[in-house]
Amino acid sequence: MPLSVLLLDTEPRTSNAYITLAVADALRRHPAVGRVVRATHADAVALAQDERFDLVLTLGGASRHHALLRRLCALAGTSALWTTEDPYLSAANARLSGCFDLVFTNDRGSLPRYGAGARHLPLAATTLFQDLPVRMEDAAYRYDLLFVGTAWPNRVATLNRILSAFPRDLKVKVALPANAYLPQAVLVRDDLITDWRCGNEDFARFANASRVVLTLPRIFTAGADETASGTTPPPRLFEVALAGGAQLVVGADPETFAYYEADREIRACAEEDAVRTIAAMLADPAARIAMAERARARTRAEHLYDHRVDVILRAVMERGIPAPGRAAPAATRPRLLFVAHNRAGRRQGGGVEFYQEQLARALDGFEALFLYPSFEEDAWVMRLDEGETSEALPIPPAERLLASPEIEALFERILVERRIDLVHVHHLLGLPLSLPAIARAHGVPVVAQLHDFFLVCHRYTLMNQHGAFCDVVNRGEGQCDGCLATAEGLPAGAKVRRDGFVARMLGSVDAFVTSTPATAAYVRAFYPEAAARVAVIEMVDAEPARLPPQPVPPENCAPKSPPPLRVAVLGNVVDHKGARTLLELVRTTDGENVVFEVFGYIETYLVAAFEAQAGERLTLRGGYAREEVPALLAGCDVSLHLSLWPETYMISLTEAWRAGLIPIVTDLGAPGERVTDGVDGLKVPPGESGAVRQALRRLAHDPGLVAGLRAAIAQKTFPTVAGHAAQMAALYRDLIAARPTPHAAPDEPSAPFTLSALDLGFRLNHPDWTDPAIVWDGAEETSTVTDALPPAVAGLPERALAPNDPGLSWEIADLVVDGQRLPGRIGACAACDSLSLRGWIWRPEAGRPVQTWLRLRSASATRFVTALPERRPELAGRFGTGRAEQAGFAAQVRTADLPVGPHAIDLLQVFPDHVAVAHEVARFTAPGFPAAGPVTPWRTGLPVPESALRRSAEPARLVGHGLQVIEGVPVARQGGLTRIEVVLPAGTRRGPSFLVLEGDGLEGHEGTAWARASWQDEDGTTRIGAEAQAREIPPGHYRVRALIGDEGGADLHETGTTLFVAPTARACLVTAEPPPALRRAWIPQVRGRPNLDAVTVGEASPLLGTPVTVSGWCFTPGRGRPLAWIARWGARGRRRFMIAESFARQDVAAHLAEADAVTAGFEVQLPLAALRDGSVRVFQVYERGAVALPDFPRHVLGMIPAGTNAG
Amino acid sequence: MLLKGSSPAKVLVASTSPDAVNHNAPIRDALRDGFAEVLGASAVRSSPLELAEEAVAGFRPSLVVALGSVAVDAAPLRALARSVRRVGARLAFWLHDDPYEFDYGPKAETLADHVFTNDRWALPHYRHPSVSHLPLAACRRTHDRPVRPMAERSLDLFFCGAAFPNRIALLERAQGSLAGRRVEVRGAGWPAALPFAENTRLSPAAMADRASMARLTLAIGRDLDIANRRCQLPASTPGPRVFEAALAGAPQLCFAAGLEILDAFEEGREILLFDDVDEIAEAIARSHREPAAFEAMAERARARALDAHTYRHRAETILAVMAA
Repeated sequence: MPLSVLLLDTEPRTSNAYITLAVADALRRHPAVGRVVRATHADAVALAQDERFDLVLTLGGASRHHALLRRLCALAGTSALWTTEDPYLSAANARLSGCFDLVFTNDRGSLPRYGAGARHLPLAATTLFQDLPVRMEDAAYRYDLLFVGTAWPNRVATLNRILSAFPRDLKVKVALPANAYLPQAVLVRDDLITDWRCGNEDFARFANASRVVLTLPRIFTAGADETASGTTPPPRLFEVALAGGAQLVVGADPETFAYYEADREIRACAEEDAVRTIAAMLADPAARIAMAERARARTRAEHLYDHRVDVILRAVMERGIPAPGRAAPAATRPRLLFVAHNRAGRRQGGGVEFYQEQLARALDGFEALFLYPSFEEDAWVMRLDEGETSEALPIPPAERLLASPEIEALFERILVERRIDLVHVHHLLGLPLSLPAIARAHGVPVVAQLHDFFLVCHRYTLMNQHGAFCDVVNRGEGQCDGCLATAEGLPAGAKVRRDGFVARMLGSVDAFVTSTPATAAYVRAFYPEAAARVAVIEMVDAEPARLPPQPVPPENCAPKSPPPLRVAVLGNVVDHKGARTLLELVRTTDGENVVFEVFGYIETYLVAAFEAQAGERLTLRGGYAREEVPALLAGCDVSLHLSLWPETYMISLTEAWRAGLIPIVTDLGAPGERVTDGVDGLKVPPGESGAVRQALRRLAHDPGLVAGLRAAIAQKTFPTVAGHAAQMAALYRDLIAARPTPHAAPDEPSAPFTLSALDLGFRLNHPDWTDPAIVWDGAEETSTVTDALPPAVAGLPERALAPNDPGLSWEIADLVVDGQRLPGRIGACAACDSLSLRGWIWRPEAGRPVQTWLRLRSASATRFVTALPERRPELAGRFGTGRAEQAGFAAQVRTADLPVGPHAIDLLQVFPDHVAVAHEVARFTAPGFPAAGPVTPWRTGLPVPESALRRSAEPARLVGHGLQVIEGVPVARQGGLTRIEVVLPAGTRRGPSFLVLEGDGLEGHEGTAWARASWQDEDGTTRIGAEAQAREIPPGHYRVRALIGDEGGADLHETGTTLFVAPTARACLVTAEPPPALRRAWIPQVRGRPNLDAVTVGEASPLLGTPVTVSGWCFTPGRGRPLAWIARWGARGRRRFMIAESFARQDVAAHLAEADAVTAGFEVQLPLAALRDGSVRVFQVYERGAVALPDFPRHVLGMIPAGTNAG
Repeated sequence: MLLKGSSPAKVLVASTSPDAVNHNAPIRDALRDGFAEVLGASAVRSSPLELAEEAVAGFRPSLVVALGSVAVDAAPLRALARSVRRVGARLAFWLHDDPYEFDYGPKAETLADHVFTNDRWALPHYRHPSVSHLPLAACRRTHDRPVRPMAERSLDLFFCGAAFPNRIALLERAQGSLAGRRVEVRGAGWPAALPFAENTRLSPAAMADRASMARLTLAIGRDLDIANRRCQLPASTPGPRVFEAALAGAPQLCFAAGLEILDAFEEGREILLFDDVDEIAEAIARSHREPAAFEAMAERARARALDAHTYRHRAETILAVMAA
């Protein structure tokens, strides 16, 4: 029997989706396989419920959406995991892979992490995209060298060594896709275009067209629990071989040669031999081409996905196909989740709230939980009630949201942790419309009860802007924009956005419950896409305890003065219930023998009109309880039900019939269906008071009609609560049987819940259907800079968050500047282009902030940037509550539009009544002017021969730089960008332009560096500018010069500016000039042990010899905030000073309960030789002056191994 | 020509987003003309999306080709699909913004009988059972120009397109080597730092005119995603500008972000590829040294476009696929 296979890529957002396509292709070809279904997270569980697959193969990892994977495993004949991201995710995969029958890891080195049954299965190549014959002629190749890979710094360094070694005519094709967490890749060949990417099929074509395809290792720093590098090569090894590429693998793991024979099938070498090996491969085309042929043949024989799939299928067959029925047995007492907009007892409610309590009580053999939005203490929460307990989960306002990742994740967690077997949606008002799709993704059946037309329109009674039933199904949707524009002030297109989403979401609903067929038919006519079954289960009323009064035959009434016809109006009086028809009726029946009794509240805006008519003919009796109805109606003859909208049931009609009243109903919706005209009531057109008056006159004057109606009404039977509940229970049991949801055992490991509508394929322009914005990829990643807070926020009082506030925990610990991540603590930095900050603030007593902003303060302006909420699952465990997950935020700031100079960042959290402010969480310097051109590297040396240099007497002038300034000196840091603009002397002729840094000559520091510049014209001046990256430039002071070339040579113009290149990625200044903070007669000493986090010895440089980097914190109270650190060394006359700004340490401030300690952190560099010779003195500069720390050097020295060479 | 179900082919070409936000409405008419060349004008209509329901009801086509981007959630695509079902026609979507808007594809997949995607690498990533690849093309009426002698061409280099970040970065790098050359860049969003770039939107015909006036027309693909998070697909199929410029008689220099372009044009004979910015200046210099070779290259590319890459050819493909 051929096997049926369900295949799922476990990562719903992945750039490697092609691997799943390749595996599906190989499975389809395999003789043991009869059927392959490529599933998504939206439908995988449901597909596995509909049909038992012999094999569920999940490709990727075990941690993402783990709860969903676990359910899938429980529904499979055999479940298998084939990881693709080991070793990087092997710890999580190993921890969570217990639910799979078979586990295959892509990395052999990760195998020991898994249990005994796991096997190693490398990824492979596919004939689907990569099967290309080797080019047999050397001349047929386009490229000499191909490298396509993420721009890890080690790879960029190796490429630069290779590119420097070959002439520029080496035909090189390089793609170096970067990400926000990598420094910008700067190659020595800056003519190469490297910022492109291609799909796997194109990659295979490039490999096929390249003489040498280069593979470079990825040196990667992962979390503490992860292995740094794997042993099994990535699939690219096999892909290139199949594509006919000749490969050179640099730094190959020995395991590589288990797949290809070294030198015969692939070349491998150490990093230092790369240049020589490439040259050798290029020099011997015949050998290279033959090698590629052999590798391709080996791949076709051993390393296709066909071969890998065969391994998996053999394992499946060895295991045997287990008999069906392994899935967890259905719960004996299934658990239902009632979802609604409210719950009785919370806010004032209506019929739905009453009904869901009534249903929950009447259901036998089920447990009902209640989920609903609630506005409490000025903030929205989602309440989950189970039995006597109620949990409040903070949520954003969701009334108009189609989707909300935050609420969806909470909902997923509820489904899983509360072991929900069925979701019954009574209403989604106040919740995102996506929730049924999350339930379906988990295989939980969904019932949607049609209490009104909320699925069709936000205006759920379908009353249009003119107060009439819009009848959108029959009159078309052309009127919707006008209605919503007038009635709700919404932009055109809003309704189409909502409808389009609901149409797709309804695919997740298993059954509609409706009181009458017409309601469901109307909804399905609007959404022909909806395939849900329709269950007609008639609504119930409160079931009076006693029998209705028997009608009194009319002929028994006293003939002389017939009593007036008593007309009851049941229910609240509001426009869409026909209030104005009623008012007209009262007015136009003046003088006729009719009296009206209104039972129910009158909406405020109608009270005056009704009270004006009140008197003998109109009695306003106010609100009532359901159980009072029979008594209230005793003595009435007729009831009016004049709704202008197509009611979906109308309980008051049942109540009137039970009381023996003759109902007059509008011929619309369920009442129109339920009443047979002239048999058990009378029907009138909606909104026509004249027709109602005629009906009343007929009843008053036609005793026979009345008698007939009463007799028929007396015969009517009504659904009982028990009967209704039994029907509902039968539906529930049916659906649960069709979609059994296997629940996890309590001791099974779990992973964060993050399933969102986006993961299910619901990509939206905007989560709010009333917002016409189309949010692009990346658009929300950069926050917009604005000049002011919104007025509603700006008017709120500010409350400063002191780091020592009890209960306050926070961390701002992830800083990326111009794409360069600065690990460790946050210090001041220069940001030419962008700066991103991530962090969290947790205050258990505070609700969830409405918004989080960054305030950027400079000397000349204050700007604001919105921060985006970021889920931090690890905080839930740390603080013992799921709410803490929502404490994270992230902001990315484009610094281009900010004024020049230093900025302080304050963090603002907006609450309904105040703004909480954390002052100066970080500091940075903005350049204040745009980049002149693309980023280029600073290269050592000069761009022209020394002999061609002409030193011009005419000076240039440096007019702008984006650098941090320490003691008046601009400071560049290693890896950072230097944006420099120089005005040239008037009349300078245009030619090739460069900026040149020339060492100041002190202590043998005579090196030069240069960068290509671009011409600029501004304010009538001629300028050149460059955006250049400082990397591996020896630290020290450099004079900035402009160099302009012409046919005869190049003119070097002095700018008179000196900048300092710091030794590390952190800015500091080393100078011979004593800083002002030390120019005082007496500096107090503070003895004590500094708190040292790390002491590391670096590579020697002329500036510091062997440097020692020391980080930690130190704080002396009573001197204000720490501002900077100074170290001094060297004999008098040869003294040097190292000056660095303080770092932020909120944790220290909290630990010491001392707000000023927030800048107690430091990271400084000291020369090891000076530490050893005892000449180092360290000072900490506070707002109120410097203090000397005489013990500091000794403690540092104590942490350095004695044998370390001082260079 | 018969379509599946053997009804005589009547085709309505409709846009997939309202014309108010649709920059590509001219392609709709170009495709209509392509169908008209195959089926005759009376068997073909075109309509903006906002009038498509009426057009379907009035014209009663057997096939509706919905052409364009499905990114705009406010576009009434469901109403279009309902009207198509009402007249018993088949509905094909030709999505021309893949892979940049691939995440919105499921909206079309739920409504379409068949999906055509402009991008070959996006193709296998669809789940719809009936999908095929169909690149955009050139319009004979709009883009066709005789190959002008190189001596008459007033520009050295021409590029027309939106200033996507990858394009800006490339031209910024190339800028230094283009000093002294007559360079014209047109489109939207170009930064002031590129002195040869002007933020002017050219009509399709004006674009063809300028391309035919340049010794070399640059082709640089787009790398800017609107909605491409799920699979983060890079583009593989060249954009329509390559076919349009070929028909306009322009020698082209195309950045090789992929080699699929070589399935449409032969390198060296019909187009040139480049990988680094120095090659742009070198190609301009060559066009001065070897004008005849560049003219011949333009002639061959134009002939290839006329032979295989006009909207008539695409219309034929659509009819063949829908009849199969």
